[in-house]
Amino acid sequence: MFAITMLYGQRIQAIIMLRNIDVSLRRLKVLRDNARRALIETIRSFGDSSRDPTPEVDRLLEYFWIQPTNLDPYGIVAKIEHFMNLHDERLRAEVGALAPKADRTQVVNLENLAEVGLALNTIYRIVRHFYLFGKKTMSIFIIYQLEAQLPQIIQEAEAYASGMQAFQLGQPIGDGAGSLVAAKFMYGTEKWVIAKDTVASELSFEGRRLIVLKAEGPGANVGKIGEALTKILEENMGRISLVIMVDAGMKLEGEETGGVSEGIGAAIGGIGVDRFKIEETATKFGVPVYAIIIKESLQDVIAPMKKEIYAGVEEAVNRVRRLIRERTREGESVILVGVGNTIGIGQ
Amino acid sequence: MEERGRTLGLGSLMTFIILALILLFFSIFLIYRSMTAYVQGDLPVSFSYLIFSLMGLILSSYFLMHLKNARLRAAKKVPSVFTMVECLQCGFKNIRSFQKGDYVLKRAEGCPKCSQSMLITSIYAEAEQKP
Ligand SMILES: [Zn+2]
Repeated sequence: MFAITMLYGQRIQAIIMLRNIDVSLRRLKVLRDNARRALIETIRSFGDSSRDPTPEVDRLLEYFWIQPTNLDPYGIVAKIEHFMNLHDERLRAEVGALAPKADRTQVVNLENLAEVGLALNTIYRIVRHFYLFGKKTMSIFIIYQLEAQLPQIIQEAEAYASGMQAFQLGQPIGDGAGSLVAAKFMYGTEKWVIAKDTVASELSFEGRRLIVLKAEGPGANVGKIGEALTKILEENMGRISLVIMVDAGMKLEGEETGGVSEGIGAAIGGIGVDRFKIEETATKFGVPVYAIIIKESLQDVIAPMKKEIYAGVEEAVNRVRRLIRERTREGESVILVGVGNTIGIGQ
Repeated sequence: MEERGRTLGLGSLMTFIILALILLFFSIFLIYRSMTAYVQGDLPVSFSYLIFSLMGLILSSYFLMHLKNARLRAAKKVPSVFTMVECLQCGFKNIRSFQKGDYVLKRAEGCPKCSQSMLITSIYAEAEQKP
């Protein structure tokens, strides 16, 4: 018995770990297949009944975009933005062509659904690659690495999967918390489109001029917040006393969903293009940028919005009011930015 | 979306449970045989019965535990989503299940009290309920 453990212990361990990975891999496959089926069904409901969208959907699910090289990082943000825009436009055009009966909101939602499917497919393919590679080489180190990362990978995949329902039906998601705060200020005022998929409105709040920005709802837009904010700051020649950004933020284990916290800085996620732009212009004009975060877990971000998050939104609205009162005087101008995917949230 | 996760069909689930239970009862029976053999003074027979019954017990409990995990996974369901409509005139509130086309801050159907159009103030997912 002892000799067997000595000689084959590592091999036995590798086999046990591979079995565990196999179970997770099958789970990932189920999630991917569900997303694919949901995408096909939804596209079919908006498209020609005579045409089968399956081959096109399979092509979309393997879509990729290559990040620009950072070998020479000068000007990389503009490059990233350019290629990211291209990717988004191409995906939207493809989805739009497949679903000619869908209106603008539904096309944007479909685009997001396709993104979810794409992400799940990529996760599945990469995990499968390392699983098969580990199985082929029986290298304990490759298997160890995969096994160690799996819980996080599965969590991420489940988060994506929980977003499918919302994107299919147009329900607000946790990420929209920031947008909802902005929408509550915007409601009932006149709005104009300030950048692609982004709206702005102006109102007066206790003697201050308040300019509110958010992505255009109720489609699944995130808008071009960086561009819009830069535009407003430049139009006003920096005569803005305060910028307040509200966004959904990552909650740590043990913290409460819907909790609100405040800080300094550009509260906006994504690859960093918007953050770069906001930081650049805010620094140029010397405008203070305050951040308010509504906390939620990774799973909540693209799942249908929870009740607790609405409580957080109310709290954030109150904090915004308090910040404006305390940090600005009457007659000054303030910009409020609601960051996040505004699916299922109008304005 | 259907149930999330890999779940067993109902038929195979039942056979699984029955097999595990048979194994369990057989193990208990073996313990009884082992005890009677011990009382009769037949130590080797008693000992081998004991070994087999322990193995059976471990196996059957392992199966049943596995089953519990499978059931837990099956219980995870898609959350149900509700829409809250409010009348800004008279404060009337109504919660109904989400309908396609609903979005927050959309003008909704007329208020049953004062027939002004109401406003959708929130669309939220109710926390998953576990039995
Ligand atoms: Zn009423």
